[in-house]
Amino acid sequence: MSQKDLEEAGILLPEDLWGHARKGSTVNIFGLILAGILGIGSGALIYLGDGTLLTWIGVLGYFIFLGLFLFISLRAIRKQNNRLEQLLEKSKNTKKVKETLARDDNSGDNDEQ
Amino acid sequence: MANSSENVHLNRDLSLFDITMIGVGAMIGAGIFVLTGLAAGAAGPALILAFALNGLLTIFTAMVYAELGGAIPEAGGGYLWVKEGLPGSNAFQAGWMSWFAHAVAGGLYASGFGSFLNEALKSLGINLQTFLPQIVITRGFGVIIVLLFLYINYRGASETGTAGNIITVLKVLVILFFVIFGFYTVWKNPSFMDKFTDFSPKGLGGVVTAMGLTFIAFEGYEIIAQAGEEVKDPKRNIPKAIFLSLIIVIPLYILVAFTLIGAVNVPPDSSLPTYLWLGKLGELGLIDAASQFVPLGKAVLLVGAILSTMSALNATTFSSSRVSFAMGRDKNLPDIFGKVHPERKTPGWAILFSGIIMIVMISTLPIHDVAAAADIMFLLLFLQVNVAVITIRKKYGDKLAYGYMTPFFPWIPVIGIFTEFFLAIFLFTYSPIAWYYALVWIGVGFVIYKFYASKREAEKTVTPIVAEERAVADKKKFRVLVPIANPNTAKDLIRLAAKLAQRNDGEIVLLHVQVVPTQTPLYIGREFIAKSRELLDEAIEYGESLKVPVSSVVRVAHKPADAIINTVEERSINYVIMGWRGKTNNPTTLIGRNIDQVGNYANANVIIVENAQEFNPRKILIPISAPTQTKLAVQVAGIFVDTSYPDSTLEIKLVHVNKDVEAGKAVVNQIHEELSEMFDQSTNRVMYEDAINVQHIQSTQILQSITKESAKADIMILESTRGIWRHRYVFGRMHKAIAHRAECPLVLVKSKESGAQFGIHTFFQFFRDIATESRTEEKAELP
Repeated sequence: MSQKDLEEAGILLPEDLWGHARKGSTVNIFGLILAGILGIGSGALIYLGDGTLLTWIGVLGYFIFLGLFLFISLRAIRKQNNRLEQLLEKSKNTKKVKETLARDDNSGDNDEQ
Repeated sequence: MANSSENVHLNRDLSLFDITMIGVGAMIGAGIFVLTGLAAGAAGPALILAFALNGLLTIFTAMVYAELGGAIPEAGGGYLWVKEGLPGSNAFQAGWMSWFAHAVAGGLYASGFGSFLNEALKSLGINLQTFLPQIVITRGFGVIIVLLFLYINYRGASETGTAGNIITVLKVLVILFFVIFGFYTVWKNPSFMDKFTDFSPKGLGGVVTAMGLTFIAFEGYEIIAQAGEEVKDPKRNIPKAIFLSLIIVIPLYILVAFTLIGAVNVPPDSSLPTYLWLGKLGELGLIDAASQFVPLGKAVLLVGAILSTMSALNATTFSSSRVSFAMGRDKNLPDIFGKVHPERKTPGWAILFSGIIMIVMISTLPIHDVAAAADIMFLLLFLQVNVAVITIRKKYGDKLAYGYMTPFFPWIPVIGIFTEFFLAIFLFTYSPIAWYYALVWIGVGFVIYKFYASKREAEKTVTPIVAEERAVADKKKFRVLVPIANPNTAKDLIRLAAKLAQRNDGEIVLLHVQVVPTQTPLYIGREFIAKSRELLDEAIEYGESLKVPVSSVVRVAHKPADAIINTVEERSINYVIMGWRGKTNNPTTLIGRNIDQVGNYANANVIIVENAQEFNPRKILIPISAPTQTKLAVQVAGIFVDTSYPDSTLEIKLVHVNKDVEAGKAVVNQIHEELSEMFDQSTNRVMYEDAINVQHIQSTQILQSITKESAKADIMILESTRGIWRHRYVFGRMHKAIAHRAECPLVLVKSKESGAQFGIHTFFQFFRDIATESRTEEKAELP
């Protein structure tokens, strides 16, 4: 796929938005680090617990990690898509303003004639 | 993607629920019912840990899939992204491996279905084994179920989704049923913890083996991505479905592992520990365990197992057909794979061929080892996708509309790359034969790519030839390509080409490139052929007056370099002679963008001649940094001078600048050796041999020394050297510096590389180009 193919398939952003869209991940970094520590720590507990109570605490911690990770990810998806929609809306408005200005200019020319 | 006139897209009719169920359906199948018993045998109670770690590792790649699935939601998934992000045969191999992996996984599920159905019939008192051997019965059932799901998938994605959703919900209920009764049994047994005391009897090795064995059960996100083009609101729904399906499945795996080990009791006649007893039962381990503590356990679990394998088969039929569909659409497989049924809007042929692979696998091959090979291929595919996400971000950056962006970029994909590589390698200890199968399949893929797919790709991307005169069929003939743009310099270049062609009994190929802007279709260029013909007719006439066979080509292209590279490949060109306007101050290129591209991507000897060249020069300077450059540089010098008589005014000076006297002398000796070898091999001993003078200049100032020497020369011949890692361009920074300071006209020379060398350079060059483009864009954006 070339850039042209991606443009034709409607996958690329409108050209006037290039350079405006990418502002890094919307994932909550602090939350993700916390979840990561919980996930890895839980894995270590499962192993080191060797079938004792610590193992089951590890399993419980792991389930909490999964829940936390899902929450963080779904939130990031929502934020990212909202950001995208705002950007597209802004682009539409800018186009509308430009079109209106162009129309006004043309009508001005006609008036002069 | 095909030409715009042939673009084919699938209906977007899969909701978040549908696509999540496709992912869950793909994952809850072989993982729990077929492989849990075997994995328990490998890891012991630490099977819980194996599932947890697999879940943790798979999340890294899942984030990458969520990013790319939302940003590029097209049919093909991983294959498509590798095609976008990695060069050469990578995309073909990704698709080829992915197609095989999904189809073989489907074969495994169909085979599992056969076993479970046979067992169910036996429980009902119908024993078909009295008529037929067991292997025929299980494989026969497998083939029938494959045919059924081929039909369902052919009917359309909505039907696929509905059938799949019902089955997936039912099997999740069955698993929950198993878990609830398992927990109740464990709860009643106060000493259940004893069963977990020897938690990892085979150590971490056993855990990793179980991880490799069950990794196939975590590849549901690849199947979600395959359906990208059919998902409603893909920027939200694909990333969500990937995370939701994993978060549904991972805890289910862990809970099943817990109840399986905790609730089951080994029969009194067996002295084996629980995990070994389960391992011995293999795919029927879970079924036999359920019969101990679930009311109607065997029947319920058999129904669950049958539904699960059906659902997983449904998902893999879906995914394998989508990846072959995408490959057909991209001309990597015959066009028939890329066709969509006009009414049903499904890729009927791709579905059929995927089904054929499944049936062949079920019927003929040892399916478990080939399934392990599919596991390896999934890991290699994910590894490629993790590399591709990095290059895609570099390449398109802020031009893509992301629905989710991977945090800690690029560290998350880098971790994915290393862990998947490790797991793939570790699988060798579990099944060496699986690796052999994998290597054979990859090898076959390379052959197909080399002899079929690469040619079809070239047909699609090559700059079209719009006029051609006297094309010569003999591919072995020595050919010198002369791209002509400027009528003022054309004759000089043809004169040089003629000398080269005469010496090698070859011919000249003249090329004129009709350049059209990127936003203009190539066919528009055909309207301007008349001018090209005028230029070429004149050039052909001149070439023939030099008594050399001449053929000509006119191509239309957006970039002249692409047309030159295409011609080099198609005509097996030995030398390219190009004119050069001289030094450039463009920051993105050192010598000139077209020359850089031709130097990097055309595998031929390339001679770049600076305009306003003085021909038949008397004093030629050749700076040598490595003795291996000697032969080509001296040969090129030969085409600039008349060699029909000894000439005392002629001097070809080879200089090597080095601060170390001894090292310098050694290089000079090596240059002499190269020269004598060259002249010994020459049947027509060249007359300018006596004019050659080799000198060592002792200095730390290479640039200044060469500049000083250039003041005394009529022309300077500069040959390029490139290492795999070191140089961004064939004609690198030192060449640029010399070009800027030289006090005589320049001739730049690049030698042809061996196939392997050229392949490696092209591979690395691809990434360097992306990095440079990205840096240039970043600079351009600065206020």
